[in-house]
Amino acid sequence: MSETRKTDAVRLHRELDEIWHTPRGLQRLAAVNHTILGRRFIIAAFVFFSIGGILSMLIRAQLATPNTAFVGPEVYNQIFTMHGTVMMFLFAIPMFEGFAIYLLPKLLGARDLAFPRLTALGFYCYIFGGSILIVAMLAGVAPDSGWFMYTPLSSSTYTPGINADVWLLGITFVEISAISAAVEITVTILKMRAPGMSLDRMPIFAWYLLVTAGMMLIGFPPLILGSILLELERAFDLPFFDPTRGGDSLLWQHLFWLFGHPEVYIIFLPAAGAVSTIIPVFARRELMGYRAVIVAIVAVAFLSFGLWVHHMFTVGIPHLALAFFSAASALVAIPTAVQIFAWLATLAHGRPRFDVPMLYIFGFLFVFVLGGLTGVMLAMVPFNWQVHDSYFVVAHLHYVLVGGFVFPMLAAAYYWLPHVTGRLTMHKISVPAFWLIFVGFNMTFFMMHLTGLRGMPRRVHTYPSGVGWDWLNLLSSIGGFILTMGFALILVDIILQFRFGKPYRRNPWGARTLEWAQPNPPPSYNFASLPLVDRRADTLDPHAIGNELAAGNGYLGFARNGWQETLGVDMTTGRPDQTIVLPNRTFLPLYTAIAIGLFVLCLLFKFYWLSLVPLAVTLLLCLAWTNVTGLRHDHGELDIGNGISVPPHYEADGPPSWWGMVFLLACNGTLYASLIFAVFFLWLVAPGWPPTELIETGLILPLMTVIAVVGAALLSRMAVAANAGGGGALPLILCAAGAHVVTVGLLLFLINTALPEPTSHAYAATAFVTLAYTAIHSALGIVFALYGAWRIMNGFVSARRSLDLRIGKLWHDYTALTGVAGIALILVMPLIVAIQGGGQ
Amino acid sequence: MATLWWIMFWGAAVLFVMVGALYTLAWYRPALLARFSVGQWLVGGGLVMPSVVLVGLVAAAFVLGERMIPRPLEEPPLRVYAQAYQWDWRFGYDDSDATTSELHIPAGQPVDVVVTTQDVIHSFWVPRLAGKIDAIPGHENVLRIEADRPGSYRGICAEFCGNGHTTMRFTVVAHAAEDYDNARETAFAEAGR
Amino acid sequence: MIVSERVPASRLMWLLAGFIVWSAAFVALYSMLSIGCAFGWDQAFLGPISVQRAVLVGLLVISLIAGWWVVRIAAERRRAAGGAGLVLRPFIETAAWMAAWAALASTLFSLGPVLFLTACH
Repeated sequence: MSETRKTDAVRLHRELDEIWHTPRGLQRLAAVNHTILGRRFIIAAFVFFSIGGILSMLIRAQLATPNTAFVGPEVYNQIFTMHGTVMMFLFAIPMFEGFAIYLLPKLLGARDLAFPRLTALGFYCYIFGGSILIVAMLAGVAPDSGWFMYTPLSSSTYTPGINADVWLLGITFVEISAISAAVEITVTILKMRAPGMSLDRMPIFAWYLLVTAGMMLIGFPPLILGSILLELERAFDLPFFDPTRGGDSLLWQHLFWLFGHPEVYIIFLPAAGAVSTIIPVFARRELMGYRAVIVAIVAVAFLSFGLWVHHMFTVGIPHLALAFFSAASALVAIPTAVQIFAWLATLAHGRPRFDVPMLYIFGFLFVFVLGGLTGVMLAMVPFNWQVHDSYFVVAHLHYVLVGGFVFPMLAAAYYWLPHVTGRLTMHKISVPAFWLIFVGFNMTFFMMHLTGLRGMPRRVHTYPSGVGWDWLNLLSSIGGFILTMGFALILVDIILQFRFGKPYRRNPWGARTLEWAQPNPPPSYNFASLPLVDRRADTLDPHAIGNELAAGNGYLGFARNGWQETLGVDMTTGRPDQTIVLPNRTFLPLYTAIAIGLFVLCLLFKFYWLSLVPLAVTLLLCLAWTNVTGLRHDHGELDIGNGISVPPHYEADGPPSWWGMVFLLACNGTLYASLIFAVFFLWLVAPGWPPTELIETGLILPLMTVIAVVGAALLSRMAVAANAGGGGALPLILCAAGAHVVTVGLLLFLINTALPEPTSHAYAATAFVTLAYTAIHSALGIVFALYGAWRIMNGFVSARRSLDLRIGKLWHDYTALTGVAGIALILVMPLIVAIQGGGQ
Repeated sequence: MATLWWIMFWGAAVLFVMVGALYTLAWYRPALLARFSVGQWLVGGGLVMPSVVLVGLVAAAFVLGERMIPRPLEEPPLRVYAQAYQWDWRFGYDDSDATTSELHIPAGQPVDVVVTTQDVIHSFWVPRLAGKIDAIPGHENVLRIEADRPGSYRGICAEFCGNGHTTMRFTVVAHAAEDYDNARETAFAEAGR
Repeated sequence: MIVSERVPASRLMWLLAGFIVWSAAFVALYSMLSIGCAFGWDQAFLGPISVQRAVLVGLLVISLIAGWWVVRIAAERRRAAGGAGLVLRPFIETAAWMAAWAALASTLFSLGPVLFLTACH
């Protein structure tokens, strides 16, 4: 590098860092930078992992010997419920989110994620929601119905205290971060890659994350709906799950596992993505079978939604129905085998070389393959009937989750930690730590297969001696403590690396992906200029690229207007089509999360009227987010370097925020579909149908509602068209707001007059929720429409800058669609109920 | 059932050793495996091999599962009723009183247990007699069990049901068919005393 | 500059098309099975087979035809895109074609049991 280039690079670094950096002190809480928030997610997830680990130690202490009197069932039930909950919701998901948030823009060659403030909001929601659970545990009122919270055990009759509410509200609060991360990951991968990075050149890790995020958008809503319904039942006595009033506890199981099984793959796929990234580096050969692996993960994504009932093989479902799920469960082994053989072929066709990450990959393969094999066994119905809910299942799930997530994440930690710290790992501790974990893990959980086969059921707080479980449990407990020592060593090792690791300049592993083209630790703006990717992004030369980018020779190699700029590209080809101006650091996400947190606490302590205050504050804060977005005049095409010009995203066709709304609505639509499923499921399966009282709406009111809600959507469409034609959108958008006001009014009138008492029967309760759903969406439609009007009046909207109106249009269309479906459902249900009594 | 388990056990062991051996070779003698192209590995190892194994296994499990279904028989089997509650079991019979914690059945013939619950979800499991079936509020599930010879068989609640879950045990007592009625009467009398 | 041709984003949907058919088939068969059992269709007969079986097998056949149709279209698009090769144009088309086959096989494997297993016990 010549002297002038060096000074150029230093000058560019100063200018960009001035715009992107996060100041010290309290300003840290305003951080929206993905590197910082990714690190925070990972650290927080590790803290929760430690808490979950301590709980597991308590479990093993209790079960080490028969007839232990260490804790009684009241405490033990809280311990194992919290262990499962913490590990699943507060460790595994956030840990992978943290990895994705930290790595994704770096892998793709972007300067940040699509919605930096949303990242921050997700983080605070996660921390606050998780803290509610932990504080409840310390106060002795932790959830105690098992981590899958089966009703009626978790209903107010059998868990009258606050325990179950803590779970339902706390976890739903945390899920906000999962949904926001899913939207953000999807949009970032599809829209914010380096120029030229067409889909076939994308790093495989991005493919894994894209598929995972898509699964989260479809997989989480059933759980969120289930939690909302159960909380409504607990708080307001709406009987969705109460068999004496037309509800059914099986509905909860379906909703829970409809989420719960895809969840396992949501956890596994990112870890497998890390494996698919790390193995090629140490095989010194790019990933073999790249396209086959992509097809395999798409197949896994879909198949994983077709096997939730294998958690319910013993609830009394006909054999043929079980067979569908049994076959699908077995089938999912095939795409997994494709990946395992792709990794094998990569090693075979490469020149494998050893280093610490590979040791953990070995652990992953060993443990995960065993877990997969027991998984196929459990998918076989007759075998499942025998070992279901026994320690065999406990063994299996730990082999799959620890094997499929923790081992790859440890490999990933050793592989990417140098990227975070800028320092190299020291081998001395990581190797013995591995062997402690590996031996300890197998000792703990292999024995559980045997205890399970010998008939030990899960979730018992003690067991009699002399039935052949004693020594197996003792070995498990000893193994557990060895395992813990291993993790303690890892923690020590990481701290030592931060303090004493040897600094290096760039790319210590000889990797060929973009994130290693940065200086480490990474600068606040990621890349001083953005690269052109002209080949598969796992066959690059980070060293050469790194120097070029630092010198500002790529795209956007300058600071302009104090904007945080990064590039948006065409989804498939990677052709740049907009320059995205990202929002700067702000305290708004923190304030918003605090407001949501207060809302949750109000619900938790049953101050329902008071809860409206933080709810209103949340809405106002959300509106305040838009204060810094938007442009007041048209900019036209902007230079991005190398002779290319693109419009700012406010003037582009498909900016991230528009796509974000599309994916958010897809997620929302899944929630609505789950609700419709619930209605039909209860009609078909629940005892106590038909209800004695049906809805009598007549046709006129429902028809008027349909006209109003569809009218709102049409008016907003006309407003968008008028705006594109040069003006006159304001009166139309105000009329759309008016149409929404009418819709809300009509719906409230329907709910109050035509509906039987919602607490009387699950039929009335689901009808109430269906109508309330549209009423809420229509009420938010008023906000969207008025917001559009306000933006027009303040000069943020022009024929070129129509984003605010188009995002609103998506919302109004969605509201109309679901509103019409909801009204149709309300009208049709009495007819369907009349056909047959349903139930038994 | 036991046969299925041993088939799966040895099958799993073989597959596990095979994957282990392949990875060991890939590590120490990659050239040996590099003779096969990527496509051959993916199709052979990723598609064909697991497909063959799974088709066989799933078919066997289906056949076995069909045999375990409590389908109507020409001579309807004896029906007994198991009602779970927090935290014990009440067993009822068509022709006499209920018993608590102890279910009496005749040995050597199939018996249908109709499982219900009066509160939360429980699960009826006698490991040596059959698989398990859940007791779901508002539903009746039927499990067919058969004890080959007279004796006592331990049963437990397999679905977590609250604080008393651990101790929610019961016993199934199988009597020789010819003394079934007498033995049951005796047991009632003893329990009533 | 970097890429010469445009590839519409809707092309990505074809990567999912086969498995969307699989999902629809799965939902259809599972719900019709539950409905049929609740209404006692397994006790009503159409000649030698029950109404329940006829409905389920009919749905399976429709699903397989739909899956086959996706495979045909995917194969046609792949040919049109130039067959093999790892650049963007045939890349997505080939992946879509592979996924369509995988989905068709999955449909047969996971829903095939309607041909011979007991429906309502």
